[in-house]
Amino acid sequence: MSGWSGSAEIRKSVEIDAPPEAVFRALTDERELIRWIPTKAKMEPRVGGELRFRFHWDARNVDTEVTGKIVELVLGKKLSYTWVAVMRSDRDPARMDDAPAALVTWSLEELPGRRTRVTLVQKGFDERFRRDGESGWEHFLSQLKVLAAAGS
Amino acid sequence: MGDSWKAVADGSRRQILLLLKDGEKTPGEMAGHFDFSLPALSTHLRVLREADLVSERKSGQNRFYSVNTEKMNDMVRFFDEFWDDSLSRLKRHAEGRK
Repeated sequence: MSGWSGSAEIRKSVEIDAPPEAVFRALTDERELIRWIPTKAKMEPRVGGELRFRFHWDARNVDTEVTGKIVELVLGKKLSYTWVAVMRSDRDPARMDDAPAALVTWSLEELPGRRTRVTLVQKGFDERFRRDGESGWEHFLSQLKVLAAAGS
Repeated sequence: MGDSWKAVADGSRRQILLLLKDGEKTPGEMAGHFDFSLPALSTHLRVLREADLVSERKSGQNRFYSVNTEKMNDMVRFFDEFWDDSLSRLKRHAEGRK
Protein backbone atom coordinates (compact mmCIF):
# COMPACT_ATOMS: atom_id res chain seq x y z
CA MET A 1 0.00 0.00 0.00
CA SER A 2 2.28 2.77 -1.19
CA GLY A 3 1.27 6.28 -2.01
CA TRP A 4 -0.04 7.73 1.23
CA SER A 5 1.68 10.93 2.03
CA GLY A 6 1.09 12.67 5.23
CA SER A 7 0.93 16.44 5.09
CA ALA A 8 -2.72 17.40 4.77
CA GLU A 9 -4.93 15.63 7.19
CA ILE A 10 -7.99 16.33 9.21
CA ARG A 11 -8.00 14.83 12.69
CA LYS A 12 -10.94 14.90 15.07
CA SER A 13 -11.62 13.19 18.35
CA VAL A 14 -14.71 12.71 20.46
CA GLU A 15 -15.55 10.79 23.65
CA ILE A 16 -18.71 8.75 23.52
CA ASP A 17 -20.67 7.40 26.42
CA ALA A 18 -21.05 3.92 24.89
CA PRO A 19 -18.71 0.92 24.68
CA PRO A 20 -16.43 0.35 21.64
CA GLU A 21 -18.56 -2.57 20.33
CA ALA A 22 -21.60 -0.30 20.11
CA VAL A 23 -19.66 2.50 18.40
CA PHE A 24 -18.14 0.00 15.98
CA ARG A 25 -21.61 -1.24 15.06
CA ALA A 26 -22.66 2.33 14.34
CA LEU A 27 -19.70 2.60 11.94
CA THR A 28 -20.30 -0.66 10.08
CA ASP A 29 -24.00 -1.57 10.20
CA GLU A 30 -25.97 -0.19 7.24
CA ARG A 31 -29.12 0.40 9.29
CA GLU A 32 -27.17 2.31 11.89
CA LEU A 33 -25.02 4.28 9.44
CA ILE A 34 -28.02 6.02 7.91
CA ARG A 35 -29.08 7.23 11.34
CA TRP A 36 -26.03 9.45 11.71
CA ILE A 37 -24.17 9.90 8.46
CA PRO A 38 -25.41 9.51 4.85
CA THR A 39 -28.91 9.41 3.44
CA LYS A 40 -28.18 5.99 1.92
CA ALA A 41 -25.53 3.47 2.90
CA LYS A 42 -24.14 0.20 1.65
CA MET A 43 -21.34 -1.41 3.59
CA GLU A 44 -19.67 -4.81 3.39
CA PRO A 45 -17.84 -4.91 6.71
CA ARG A 46 -14.75 -6.97 5.77
CA VAL A 47 -11.31 -6.10 4.38
CA GLY A 48 -11.73 -5.56 0.62
CA GLY A 49 -15.47 -5.02 1.09
CA GLU A 50 -17.14 -2.11 -0.67
CA LEU A 51 -18.98 0.85 0.70
CA ARG A 52 -21.22 3.35 -0.97
CA PHE A 53 -22.69 6.37 0.76
CA ARG A 54 -25.03 8.92 -0.70
CA PHE A 55 -25.02 12.39 0.81
CA HIS A 56 -27.85 14.61 -0.17
CA TRP A 57 -28.26 17.93 1.53
CA ASP A 58 -30.43 20.43 -0.28
CA ALA A 59 -29.45 23.09 2.21
CA ARG A 60 -25.83 22.89 1.17
CA ASN A 61 -26.50 22.19 -2.48
CA VAL A 62 -24.60 18.95 -2.14
CA ASP A 63 -25.54 15.66 -3.77
CA THR A 64 -22.56 13.37 -3.73
CA GLU A 65 -21.97 9.69 -3.81
CA VAL A 66 -18.95 8.36 -2.00
CA THR A 67 -17.52 4.98 -2.88
CA GLY A 68 -14.68 3.16 -1.24
CA LYS A 69 -13.10 -0.08 -0.14
CA ILE A 70 -12.29 -1.23 3.33
CA VAL A 71 -8.52 -1.49 3.76
CA GLU A 72 -8.40 -2.36 7.45
CA LEU A 73 -10.91 -3.73 9.91
CA VAL A 74 -10.15 -4.73 13.49
CA LEU A 75 -13.40 -5.57 15.24
CA GLY A 76 -14.26 -3.00 17.88
CA LYS A 77 -10.98 -1.13 17.40
CA LYS A 78 -10.26 0.17 13.94
CA LEU A 79 -11.90 0.76 10.58
CA SER A 80 -10.17 2.28 7.61
CA TYR A 81 -11.55 2.85 4.13
CA THR A 82 -10.84 4.75 0.95
CA TRP A 83 -13.21 7.57 0.20
CA VAL A 84 -13.78 8.76 -3.34
CA ALA A 85 -16.49 11.33 -3.90
CA VAL A 86 -18.11 11.07 -7.30
CA MET A 87 -20.03 13.92 -8.86
CA ARG A 88 -21.69 14.51 -12.17
CA SER A 89 -19.38 16.26 -14.61
CA ASP A 90 -20.41 19.77 -15.49
CA ARG A 91 -19.07 19.38 -18.99
CA ASP A 92 -20.73 16.12 -19.85
CA PRO A 93 -23.66 15.03 -17.67
CA ALA A 94 -23.12 11.41 -18.67
CA ARG A 95 -19.63 11.41 -17.28
CA MET A 96 -18.81 11.10 -13.63
CA ASP A 97 -15.72 12.91 -12.40
CA ASP A 98 -13.87 11.50 -9.47
CA ALA A 99 -13.05 14.07 -6.96
CA PRO A 100 -11.80 14.30 -3.43
CA ALA A 101 -10.12 10.97 -2.81
CA ALA A 102 -9.04 10.23 0.68
CA LEU A 103 -8.34 7.60 3.29
CA VAL A 104 -10.67 7.72 6.28
CA THR A 105 -9.60 5.95 9.47
CA TRP A 106 -11.65 5.45 12.61
CA SER A 107 -9.81 4.37 15.76
CA LEU A 108 -11.68 3.38 18.91
CA GLU A 109 -10.07 3.38 22.31
CA GLU A 110 -11.86 1.90 25.29
CA LEU A 111 -12.10 4.27 28.26
CA PRO A 112 -13.04 3.40 31.85
CA GLY A 113 -16.78 3.26 32.54
CA ARG A 114 -17.83 1.71 29.23
CA ARG A 115 -16.88 4.80 27.30
CA THR A 116 -14.99 5.16 24.01
CA ARG A 117 -12.63 7.70 22.56
CA VAL A 118 -13.22 7.90 18.80
CA THR A 119 -10.53 9.42 16.60
CA LEU A 120 -11.21 10.16 12.98
CA VAL A 121 -8.45 10.92 10.50
CA GLN A 122 -9.04 11.89 6.89
CA LYS A 123 -5.90 11.83 4.78
CA GLY A 124 -5.30 12.40 1.12
CA PHE A 125 -5.14 9.19 -0.84
CA ASP A 126 -2.78 9.85 -3.58
CA GLU A 127 -2.80 6.49 -5.38
CA ARG A 128 -5.49 7.42 -7.89
CA PHE A 129 -4.16 10.89 -8.44
CA ARG A 130 -0.54 10.15 -9.05
CA ARG A 131 -1.05 11.12 -12.69
CA ASP A 132 -1.76 14.64 -11.44
CA GLY A 133 1.77 14.74 -10.12
CA GLU A 134 2.03 17.50 -7.60
CA SER A 135 -1.59 18.41 -7.73
CA GLY A 136 -3.01 15.30 -6.10
CA TRP A 137 -5.98 15.90 -3.88
CA GLU A 138 -3.91 15.87 -0.76
CA HIS A 139 -1.51 18.43 -2.06
CA PHE A 140 -4.48 20.45 -3.18
CA LEU A 141 -6.05 20.25 0.24
CA SER A 142 -2.87 21.44 1.94
CA GLN A 143 -2.56 24.32 -0.52
CA LEU A 144 -6.20 25.20 0.08
CA LYS A 145 -5.32 25.72 3.71
CA VAL A 146 -2.32 27.84 2.85
CA LEU A 147 -4.37 29.95 0.46
CA ALA A 148 -7.26 30.27 2.87
CA ALA A 149 -4.92 31.32 5.68
CA ALA A 150 -3.25 33.88 3.46
CA GLY A 151 -6.63 35.35 2.53
CA SER A 152 -8.08 35.57 6.00
CA MET B 1 -20.95 24.93 -2.41
CA GLY B 2 -21.91 22.18 -4.84
CA ASP B 3 -20.51 24.05 -7.79
CA SER B 4 -17.12 24.60 -6.24
CA TRP B 5 -16.78 20.90 -5.45
CA LYS B 6 -17.72 20.04 -9.00
CA ALA B 7 -15.20 22.56 -10.24
CA VAL B 8 -12.34 20.91 -8.36
CA ALA B 9 -13.53 17.42 -9.30
CA ASP B 10 -11.10 17.60 -12.15
CA GLY B 11 -7.33 17.22 -12.02
CA SER B 12 -6.70 19.86 -14.68
CA ARG B 13 -8.67 22.48 -12.81
CA ARG B 14 -6.86 21.65 -9.59
CA GLN B 15 -3.58 22.16 -11.46
CA ILE B 16 -4.76 25.56 -12.65
CA LEU B 17 -5.66 26.63 -9.11
CA LEU B 18 -2.29 25.51 -7.82
CA LEU B 19 -0.51 27.39 -10.58
CA LEU B 20 -2.44 30.55 -9.72
CA LYS B 21 -1.52 30.40 -6.04
CA ASP B 22 1.81 32.03 -6.92
CA GLY B 23 0.05 35.08 -8.32
CA GLU B 24 -2.25 36.20 -11.10
CA LYS B 25 -1.60 34.99 -14.63
CA THR B 26 -2.91 35.43 -18.15
CA PRO B 27 -4.15 32.38 -20.09
CA GLY B 28 -1.07 32.71 -22.30
CA GLU B 29 1.23 32.43 -19.28
CA MET B 30 -0.73 29.46 -17.98
CA ALA B 31 -0.86 27.55 -21.25
CA GLY B 32 2.84 26.76 -21.21
CA HIS B 33 2.40 24.75 -18.01
CA PHE B 34 -0.23 22.37 -19.37
CA ASP B 35 -0.57 19.93 -22.18
CA PHE B 36 -4.16 20.84 -22.96
CA SER B 37 -5.16 23.36 -25.64
CA LEU B 38 -5.91 27.05 -25.11
CA PRO B 39 -9.65 26.50 -25.79
CA ALA B 40 -9.68 23.73 -23.17
CA LEU B 41 -7.92 26.09 -20.77
CA SER B 42 -10.57 28.76 -21.42
CA THR B 43 -13.32 26.25 -20.63
CA HIS B 44 -11.64 25.29 -17.37
CA LEU B 45 -11.21 28.95 -16.45
CA ARG B 46 -14.87 29.62 -17.17
CA VAL B 47 -15.92 26.73 -14.88
CA LEU B 48 -13.60 28.01 -12.14
CA ARG B 49 -14.89 31.56 -12.56
CA GLU B 50 -18.54 30.44 -12.44
CA ALA B 51 -17.76 28.54 -9.26
CA ASP B 52 -16.26 31.77 -7.94
CA LEU B 53 -12.92 30.04 -7.32
CA VAL B 54 -10.98 32.40 -9.57
CA SER B 55 -11.42 36.07 -10.33
CA GLU B 56 -10.78 37.76 -13.64
CA ARG B 57 -9.24 41.20 -14.06
CA LYS B 58 -9.08 42.92 -17.44
CA SER B 59 -6.23 45.26 -18.24
CA GLY B 60 -5.97 46.49 -21.81
CA GLN B 61 -5.91 43.44 -24.07
CA ASN B 62 -5.07 41.10 -21.21
CA ARG B 63 -7.16 39.10 -18.80
CA PHE B 64 -5.52 38.20 -15.52
CA TYR B 65 -6.77 35.34 -13.39
CA SER B 66 -6.23 34.91 -9.67
CA VAL B 67 -7.45 32.62 -6.92
CA ASN B 68 -10.41 33.72 -4.80
CA THR B 69 -9.09 32.92 -1.33
CA GLU B 70 -12.41 33.58 0.40
CA LYS B 71 -14.07 30.79 -1.53
CA MET B 72 -11.13 28.52 -0.76
CA ASN B 73 -11.70 29.24 2.90
CA ASP B 74 -15.29 28.03 2.54
CA MET B 75 -14.06 24.74 1.13
CA VAL B 76 -11.63 24.12 3.98
CA ARG B 77 -14.41 24.95 6.44
CA PHE B 78 -16.74 22.55 4.68
CA PHE B 79 -14.50 19.56 5.45
CA ASP B 80 -14.00 20.64 8.99
CA GLU B 81 -17.70 21.15 9.61
CA PHE B 82 -18.60 17.97 7.80
CA TRP B 83 -16.58 15.85 10.22
CA ASP B 84 -17.60 17.90 13.27
CA ASP B 85 -21.26 17.37 12.36
CA SER B 86 -20.75 13.69 11.63
CA LEU B 87 -18.97 13.03 14.92
CA SER B 88 -21.60 14.77 16.97
CA ARG B 89 -24.34 12.82 15.20
CA LEU B 90 -22.41 9.58 15.80
CA LYS B 91 -22.10 10.47 19.48
CA ARG B 92 -25.82 11.23 19.81
CA HIS B 93 -26.74 8.05 17.96
CA ALA B 94 -24.39 5.75 19.89
CA GLU B 95 -25.35 7.22 23.25
CA GLY B 96 -29.06 7.28 22.55
CA ARG B 97 -29.22 3.58 21.91
CA LYS B 98 -27.88 2.51 25.28
